[in-house]
Amino acid sequence: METALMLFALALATLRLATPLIFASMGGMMSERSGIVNVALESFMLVGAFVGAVAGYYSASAWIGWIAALAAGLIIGALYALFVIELRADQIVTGMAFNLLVMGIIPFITKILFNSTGSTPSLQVEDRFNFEPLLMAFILVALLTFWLKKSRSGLWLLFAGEHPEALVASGVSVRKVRWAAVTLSGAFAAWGGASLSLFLASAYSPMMTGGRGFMALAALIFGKWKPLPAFLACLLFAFADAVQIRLQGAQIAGIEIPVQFVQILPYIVTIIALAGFIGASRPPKALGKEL
Amino acid sequence: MISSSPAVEFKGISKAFGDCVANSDITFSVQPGTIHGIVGENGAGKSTAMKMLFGLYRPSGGEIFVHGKPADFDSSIDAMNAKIGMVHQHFMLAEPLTALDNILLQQKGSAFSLLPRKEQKDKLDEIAKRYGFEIDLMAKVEDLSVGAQQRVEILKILSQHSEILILDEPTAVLTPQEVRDLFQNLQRLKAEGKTILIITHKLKEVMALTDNVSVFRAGRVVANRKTSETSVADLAELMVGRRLQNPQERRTAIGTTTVLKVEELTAQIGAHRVENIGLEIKSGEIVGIAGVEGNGQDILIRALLDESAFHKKDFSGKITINGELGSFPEDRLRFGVLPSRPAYENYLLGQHRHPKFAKGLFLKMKEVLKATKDAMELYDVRPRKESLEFDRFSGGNQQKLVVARALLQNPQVVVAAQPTRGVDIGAIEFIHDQIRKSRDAGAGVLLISSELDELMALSDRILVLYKGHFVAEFPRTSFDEISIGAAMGGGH
Amino acid sequence: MKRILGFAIGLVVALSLTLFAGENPFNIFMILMRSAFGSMYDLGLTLSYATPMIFCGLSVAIGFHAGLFNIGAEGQLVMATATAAAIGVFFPNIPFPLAPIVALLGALAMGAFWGWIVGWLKAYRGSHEVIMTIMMNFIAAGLASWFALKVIPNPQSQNPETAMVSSNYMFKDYDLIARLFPDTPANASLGFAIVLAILLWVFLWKTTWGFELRAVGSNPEAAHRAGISEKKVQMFAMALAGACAGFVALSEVMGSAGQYRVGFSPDYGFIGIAVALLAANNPLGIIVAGFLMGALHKGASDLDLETTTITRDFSRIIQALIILGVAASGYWDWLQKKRKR
Repeated sequence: METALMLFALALATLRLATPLIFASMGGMMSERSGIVNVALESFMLVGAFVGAVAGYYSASAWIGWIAALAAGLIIGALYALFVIELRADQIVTGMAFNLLVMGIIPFITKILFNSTGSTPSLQVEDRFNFEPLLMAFILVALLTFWLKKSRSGLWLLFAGEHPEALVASGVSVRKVRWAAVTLSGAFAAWGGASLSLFLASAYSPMMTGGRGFMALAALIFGKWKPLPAFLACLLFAFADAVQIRLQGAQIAGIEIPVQFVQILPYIVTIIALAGFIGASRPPKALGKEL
Repeated sequence: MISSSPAVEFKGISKAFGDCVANSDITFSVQPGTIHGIVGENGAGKSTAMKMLFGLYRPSGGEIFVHGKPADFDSSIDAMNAKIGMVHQHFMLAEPLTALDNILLQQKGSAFSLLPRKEQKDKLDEIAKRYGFEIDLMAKVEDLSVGAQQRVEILKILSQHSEILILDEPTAVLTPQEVRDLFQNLQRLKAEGKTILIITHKLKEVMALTDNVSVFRAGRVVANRKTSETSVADLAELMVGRRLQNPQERRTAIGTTTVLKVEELTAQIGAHRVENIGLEIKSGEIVGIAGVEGNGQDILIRALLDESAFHKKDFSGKITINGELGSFPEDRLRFGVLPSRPAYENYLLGQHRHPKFAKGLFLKMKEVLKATKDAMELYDVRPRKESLEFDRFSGGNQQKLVVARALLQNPQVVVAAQPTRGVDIGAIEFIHDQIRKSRDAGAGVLLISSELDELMALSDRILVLYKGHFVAEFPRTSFDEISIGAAMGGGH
Repeated sequence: MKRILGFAIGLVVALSLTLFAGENPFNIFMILMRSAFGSMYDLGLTLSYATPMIFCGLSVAIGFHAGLFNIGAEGQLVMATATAAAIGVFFPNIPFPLAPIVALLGALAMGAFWGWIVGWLKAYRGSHEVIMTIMMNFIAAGLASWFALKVIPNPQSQNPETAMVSSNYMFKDYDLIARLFPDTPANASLGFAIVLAILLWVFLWKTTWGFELRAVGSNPEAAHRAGISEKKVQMFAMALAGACAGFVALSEVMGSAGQYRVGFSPDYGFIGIAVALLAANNPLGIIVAGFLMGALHKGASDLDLETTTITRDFSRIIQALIILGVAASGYWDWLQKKRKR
């Protein structure tokens, strides 16, 4: 009975922890499948978490926060698109700069708004989400899977990343496809962040994403850039995270396992996975290449 | 579809890129329902002309008419709307996707409409059947043979109801069997009333397939002929103009020492392989390897220059090289150079550990610069700027630099792969002279080329590679384009 | 020239942001300048920031020359710093001139190892170095903090930091630079940074190994055909990059703090990307770029005190916008090329 209860709690924690990862890796998929490397996911998430928390706090509504996060995500996604598509800045350099920028901007704003260095005030517990983001994450994965497989614009996205010249030859603008994809990438990842501050917690705290943007990217690569496998990879990483929280302070054979060892577990899993020890994965052919 | 005006008509078309004139005063016409050959050597301006017809370039002067109407195309989309389709040398196909999806991409429709896969598959199967195409539309492109990929490209055009088809060197990558199939398919298309323009430099194919032919030379059309009223020899003369490479008689004798020996070599990467081949080159001898691309040349080159590219289980046999090896690769920008680095670093590449240029850990930069300067002088590389980035030299000057790097070290063995690919005519002669010089100095040369003229001009004997085997050998005294060509096609 | 323009645009945009906080951008600029160069004390702090930034800039640049994007300098320097501290705590009896040398070699070896792992993964498993170095950063942070909290914690403090190394490991008494800037962490490792930069310049442009490294970075297939093992070069380059980042242990542990403190680095590894980018990966330029970024960082760190609305996190905004300004300046090159065609 006790074991069953523990397993249930673990499963629940896994699903909760997976939510931000799923949103962010779907965001990553949009961008990378269109041929744009995205290491800026972390910053997209931070923006979503922050704007979601702020709007949620002022309106005392998680849903308003959710919509505000969407808007903020679209904006930062478009900004990233501007730099990498129009200004031809290096995609990885720009991505890292975005991460740095957002880490600086958020405390800058909280100082002005709340006179704090990075945190926002909390929502009322009854105002925050109970399960909705989790449900939406599942729906998003299902929708994207369907869209990518069945729709014309889904095919455009695949060609933008695989063979942009062929897409051009068929009269579709690769630039527009990539703009749309990267902008949406910002929105999805921002929802990932918002599910942190409006669902897992009830406020924004500094650096609350804690590298989840990179984990989401790793899950995407692990999942061979496909929505369903990436979704499963997110569940796997979230499970490792849940176990990690569970194991904190736990003892095995009388020896306490250092928290830090458990904390780095997901990253080690990622490296082993990406080193191709569990099946190789091939990136979209035109990923990271300029037009 | 019968109309009195020609399907395609070029009237005084010219095209210049900056100072470089690619086409001038191109005039010819193509009647509907015929197959028209566009022939000429590399760099004669064939592709440029066709790309203008397909809307990829805009003419600098003159006018193109399609079915009597002026064709003022801004892009290939306009061309496709005018029912013109083109099969590029490099296919426009995404490999991990199915053939069907690659074709569906071409069709217009709103972004959020669903792809009508089932309905379109039936339609496309029907078109394929009508023209006798065998295509598995549900297969991923990466699992299809090159010939099948080409059929996907053609089907893509046909599904657009194109009436005019342009094919750019369609046989370059095909096996002889696939070439036969392609020709059958094209004949059928012609019978259905389609107009076909085919770019090629293989004259026998022109004779076998076309109704009319336009010969390009140095950016101009030098002749328009009815195929039935011309011959291979006639076309060859028109293409080349004056014969550049008079088979010069050699003045030195072939040596007696063996410098390169390949024994029982079997090697394979992917579908490309050579099987149990052997060859021996004496000093002062040039041995040419002829063959349609993809018959094992790349594997032979790799085996000689980069054995580590093979898995151990995919490589057996013995290669003996006596003396220094100098080589220039089949694709210089990919395998031979650092395109974004200055000329002198490219000259240094591969010799950077030679005592001439390095002392211990340190490079002798003065020597490197001087050697580069001398080489540029000797080989007349222009402009004479040792510090200019490699990719800012023209193709001919790039290749001269690469050849200089290999030959100025006085190697005893030279592996020359496609020594004049993408090189202008003046530089071709120059490079040929240097290879002869190297031979006269006692080097043994293995010459791998897709240009039969080049092989016949330089080689002492020619071995023909077909499907990974040497299927024929021709001594210099019995060089003959027809029989070598036949051997290349597997018909020996 | 375009880089300087990009730098200026980034800086101006960052300063303009302070308008939103009700500040005068020009004032902020003056505060930055004053607190970076205002006194010997300020200058000393600026130099103490510049030193690790130069090391990290060199680390990133070496990677770039080999065609590898080393985002892992942060993890490499953390591992190296923790290692130096560990050596100092575990072997307190090594006599003076030897002790810091041993600790430095240990740190360099650890930094090199941390980079090499990624080089190996790249060469033999085909893994992309960017995602791998990011993961290695997280792992390094976890391991090092475990070390500082559990293995050799500082008994005198509640802070997450290791115990102090014995005084044999510190070269303060012989340190001319430290004497010039009393009471600041500035120390002789600045000299090491400059010498290292010069040595790496010589290495890259005057030696066969440097040439091979750059050849692989420029065109791996051609380098391979020229008899260069691109796998070895990739592993070597990542190890060298890791060692460069590992030098941070010299300025942090032996030069100033005498211990490893969790979070001592304000993301030096990432700032290294900005430094390398600004200097176009030229080691000599990195000395200047490191100094510039160090000055901005020091300048911004005083904003807490000098203004009521702007915090030290502002330095991140400046760094990020400068990176973006410089990264996007490639656009003009591209435009020019396009016009020529």
